[in-house]
Amino acid sequence: MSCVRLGLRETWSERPAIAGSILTYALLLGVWASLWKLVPDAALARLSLRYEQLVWYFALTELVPFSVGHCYRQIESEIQAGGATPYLVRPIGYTALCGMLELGHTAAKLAFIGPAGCALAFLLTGTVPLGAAQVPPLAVLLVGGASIYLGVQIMIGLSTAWFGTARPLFFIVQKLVFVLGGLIVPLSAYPGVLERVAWLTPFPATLYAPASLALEPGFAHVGGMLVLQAFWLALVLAALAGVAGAFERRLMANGEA
Amino acid sequence: MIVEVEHLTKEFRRGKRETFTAVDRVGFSIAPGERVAFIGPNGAGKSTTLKMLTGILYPTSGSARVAGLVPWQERRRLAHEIGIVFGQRSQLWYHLKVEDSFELLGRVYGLRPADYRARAAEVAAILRIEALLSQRVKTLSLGQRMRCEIAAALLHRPRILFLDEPTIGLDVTAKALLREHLKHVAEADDTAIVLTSHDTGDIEEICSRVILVNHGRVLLDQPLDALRAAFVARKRITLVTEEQDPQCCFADADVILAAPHKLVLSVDGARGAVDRVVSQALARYDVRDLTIENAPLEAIIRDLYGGAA
Repeated sequence: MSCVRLGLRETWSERPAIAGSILTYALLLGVWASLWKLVPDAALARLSLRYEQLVWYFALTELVPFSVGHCYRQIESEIQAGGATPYLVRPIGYTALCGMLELGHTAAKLAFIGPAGCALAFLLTGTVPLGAAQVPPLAVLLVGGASIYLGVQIMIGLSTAWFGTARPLFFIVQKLVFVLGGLIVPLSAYPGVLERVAWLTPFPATLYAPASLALEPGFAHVGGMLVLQAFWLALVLAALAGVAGAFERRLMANGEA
Repeated sequence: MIVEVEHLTKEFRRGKRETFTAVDRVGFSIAPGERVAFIGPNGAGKSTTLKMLTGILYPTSGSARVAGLVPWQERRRLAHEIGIVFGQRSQLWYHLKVEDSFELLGRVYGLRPADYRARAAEVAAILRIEALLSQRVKTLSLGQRMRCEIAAALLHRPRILFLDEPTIGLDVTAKALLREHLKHVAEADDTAIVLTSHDTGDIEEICSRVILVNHGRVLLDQPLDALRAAFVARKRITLVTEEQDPQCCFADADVILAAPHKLVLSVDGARGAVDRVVSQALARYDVRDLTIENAPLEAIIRDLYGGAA
């Protein structure tokens, strides 16, 4: 809770950056909404989709990358500067402390950008696809999706200890998240093979899971998405624990990363 | 003893076959409340030794116990017993206010809120950083940040404080202030201090014992007073002369500085050379001022480094 509180306070102190994020988010949403507007309703209907659903879908998927940001960069630069070593002498390790602080930042940004995003989506479509009952599970799925993406980014940042830089790996993973996570188009509209490949990865749990409530708000679907996220969150946390342990052992063998 | 080190060794691999011994069978003990300067030239093995004692680095062989714990095996428990300040690396969160960093550290170390608040107020008063608590770390000057770093390292009342170049980059006034605060804090809490520094002022003002290492080995381990006494035989004689260019020609003296109207000599006082040099100088020059003083600690340590090379 201290980390969440600090994240909120720090994010509030960086209001210009949040405002910039919201503007960028609004621009992207506006551009894609304009593009979806050009697609005939009949064509969307063949994919069992409507314009309003696609706009809300994109509004929700974009919340995750906008909230998590590029936290891997902070980890990368700290490791390159030897700044991770002092954390070894604290009762709570580098990865855990880093993760909690970033979770606080992410939660704070979600709290600011989320309502703005939903307001924009309503302005563009004139509809709200979710009832009040779906809002709490949506919030849980957004936090869950952001947590999975955050865990993946932290692992990418820690890879700096082995590769010297994390950026190439991040660029690859980011594109995989966007494509296999269904950033712009729901997975249900993907070609069969691609959709099946996507479901084998954690990426649908990050973006598609929360945003799919704009397509299927029913509780059976919500329950399925919660189970999916819980599964991948557990796997990502286990992988993160393994990478963090290897990272600390590397530091302790060499004194530096 | 709060620190016990025996035959501690660390070897690093260079390439596939070559190894480099950074620390070679180092051994020493430190008592609770003792203040020790751990010095040596660059590459002597100081930082490597400290990293092993703080649990950051596995040794190759040997043993060590800090506050009764084996550092590299019980790192998380040891963290509650030690505090560390790195002169060149910050442990505070750059974008947070100082008080937020302190609060986070209080949580990290498991301090109860009431205990944390009392302790934070106490160290803030001792280090005179009350006015800095509401500022962001990134806005602090180097001297201010170092005082905050030390306060942060003391929040959990460590029994031993490791200071790695704590005054590096500070101006004279800031150094004096920081040294004063460190002495006060160490005395108030009976905290042992292990200090590495290239600044002899840090050693003279803070420490009572010197351990000199070079090439990974302990070359000297003495109380500071004993070190001074062993080298006090070297005297420094400063002559201010009427002559613009006093030519130096003393059999018993080494010239440290020859400047217009000034000559600074180093003399081995143990062999009675001071009298001879002073007599010769008075006979040869029109001396306006003459000063005889003990060789400064800096010169002593430089000689030790040079002898140990």
